[in-house]
Amino acid sequence: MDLSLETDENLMMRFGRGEAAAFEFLYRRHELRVFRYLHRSVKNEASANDLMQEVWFAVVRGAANYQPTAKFTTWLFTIAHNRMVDMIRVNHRLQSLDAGENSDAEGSSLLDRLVDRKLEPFAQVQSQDEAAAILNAVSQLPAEQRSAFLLQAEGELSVEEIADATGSNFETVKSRLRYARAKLRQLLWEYA
Amino acid sequence: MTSKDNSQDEELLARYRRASDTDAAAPGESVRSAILAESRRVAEQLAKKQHPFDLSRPAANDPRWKITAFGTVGAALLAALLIAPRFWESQRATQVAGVPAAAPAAKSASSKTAPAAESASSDAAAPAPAAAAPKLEEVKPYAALSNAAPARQSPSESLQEIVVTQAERKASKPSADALQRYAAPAPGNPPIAASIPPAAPPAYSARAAQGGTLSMSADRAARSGIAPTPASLQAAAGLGDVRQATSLLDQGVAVDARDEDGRTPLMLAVAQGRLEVVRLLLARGADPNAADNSGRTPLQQARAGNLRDVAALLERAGAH
Repeated sequence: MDLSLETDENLMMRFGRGEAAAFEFLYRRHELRVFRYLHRSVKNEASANDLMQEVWFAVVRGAANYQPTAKFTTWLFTIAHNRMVDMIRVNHRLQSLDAGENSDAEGSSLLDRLVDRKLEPFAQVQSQDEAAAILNAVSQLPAEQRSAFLLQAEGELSVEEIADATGSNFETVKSRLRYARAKLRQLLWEYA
Repeated sequence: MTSKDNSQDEELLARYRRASDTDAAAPGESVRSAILAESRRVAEQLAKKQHPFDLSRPAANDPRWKITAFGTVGAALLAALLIAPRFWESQRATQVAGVPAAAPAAKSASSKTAPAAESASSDAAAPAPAAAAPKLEEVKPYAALSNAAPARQSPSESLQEIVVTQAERKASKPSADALQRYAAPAPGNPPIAASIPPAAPPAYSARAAQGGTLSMSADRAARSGIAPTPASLQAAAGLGDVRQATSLLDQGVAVDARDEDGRTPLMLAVAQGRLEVVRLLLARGADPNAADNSGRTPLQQARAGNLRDVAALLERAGAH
C-alpha cells in the first residue's frame, strides 16, 4: 500500500508494529514543520537540532504505547513544546533573546537586512524582505504568544489542541493568539 | 470575532507560511540520520515484540524436525530390509543343520553344486565316499551358482547351493600363503614338502578348514554352535574360532574326530596356523601324533609351513 495515502495515525500504528518505512515517511512529512517551530522558538539552530533529535527520539520510543486518541500532530507538537520549554528553562534563556542569534551565515541579522533593504533594487528584495520581516516579527513576540502562534501556524493545531499541548486554558490560548496577531500586524504594517 | 477578523487572521497565517517556506533552515543531516537510525532500531525491537516466538528455533516451530524424524525412520526401515534376509537365512541354516544328511548327500551326486548340509552331516555319519565329495575346483562362485540353478525346489535344496561368503574369501588368502609356505622351505630347513605325498582331493570339511570354500549354512551352523558335530569342530578349528571350538568341545564333540581324509581338528588348525586353537585342542587332549590318511602328522604340517610357534607347541605336547 502507498504510504503517502496513509494518515499520520495509521503510519504511527504501522511503525508500532515494526515497520521502519512507515516512520520514515511520517518523519519526512513533519520534519520541517517541527524544526521550524523549534528553531523559531529557541532562536538557535544548534539548540533546535538538539531539540529536534530529542523530540523525534521521544516519538520513536513512544511508538509501542501510542494510541490514536488524538491527532498525531497534537501529540507531536505537544512533545516538541514541552521539550522546548524544558530547554529554555534550563538555559534561562526564555527572556534573554539576543538579536545576534538571528544572524544569518553572513553575520547580518534580519533587522539589519531590513535596514539595508534600501540599498538593493526594490522589486528584487521586496518579497525576500517581507519574509524576513515576518519571521523577525514572530521572533519578537513574547514567548507564550510566539509559541501559541507557531503551534497554530506550523503545527496547524486548533485553539483547543494548543491549549492541550501547552497545558493552558482555552481562553488563555485564545487571548495569546489574539495578542500575537495584533502585534504581528503592528510590526508588519508597512508590508500590508 | 467577526468574519473580517477571521479573514485577516487567515491572511496573516498565509503570509507567515509563505515566509516560512522561503526559510532554508532545516535540521542537520547528522540529526536526521540519528533519528532514522534510532527508528530502525526500535522498529526491529517492535517487530520482535509482534512475534514473541522465535521462528528460527527448530525445536519449537520449525517443521524441519518432521523431516529429520521421517528420515530417521526411513533409514531404519532401509537398514531392516537389508539386514532381515541375513537373519532369515541364518534361521533357515539353523533348521537345515538339524536335517539328516542322507537326502542332500544323495542329491549332490546329480548336482554340480556342493550340498550345504553335507559338511554338517558327512562327519556325523561315516566318511562320505570321495567321489560324492565335490572337488575344490568344482566349487563355483556364488554368481555362477545362482545362474546354474534357475529353479529351487525346496529351502533345503536351495541351501545346498554353495555360497562363498566374505569370511571365506578372507580366509582364502591365508590359505594361499600357507600353501606357498608348503612349497618354499624355510631357510636352513630341508625341503620337506616334496617328500610329503600329495593329499587326496579334499573333502568339504577339509576345504572349510583350509580356508577354502565353506557353505554358508555349515559355516553359520559351526559358528552358531547349534550343531555339535565333528564337522563343526573341524570348521571352527580351521577358522581359528576358539570360542566356537571350546563350545563344541564342551558339548561333547570328539577332540580327535576325523574327516574323510583322516584329518583331525588339530591338523586342520595346524594347517591354518591357528595357534590358539591348537593350544586349546592340545589342552583338551588332542593326539599330537595322529596322522591323516596320507600319513602326515601335525608336526610335519607345521614344519612344512614354517610355523615355528605351532611346531614348538606341538613338540612340547609330545609330538615327534
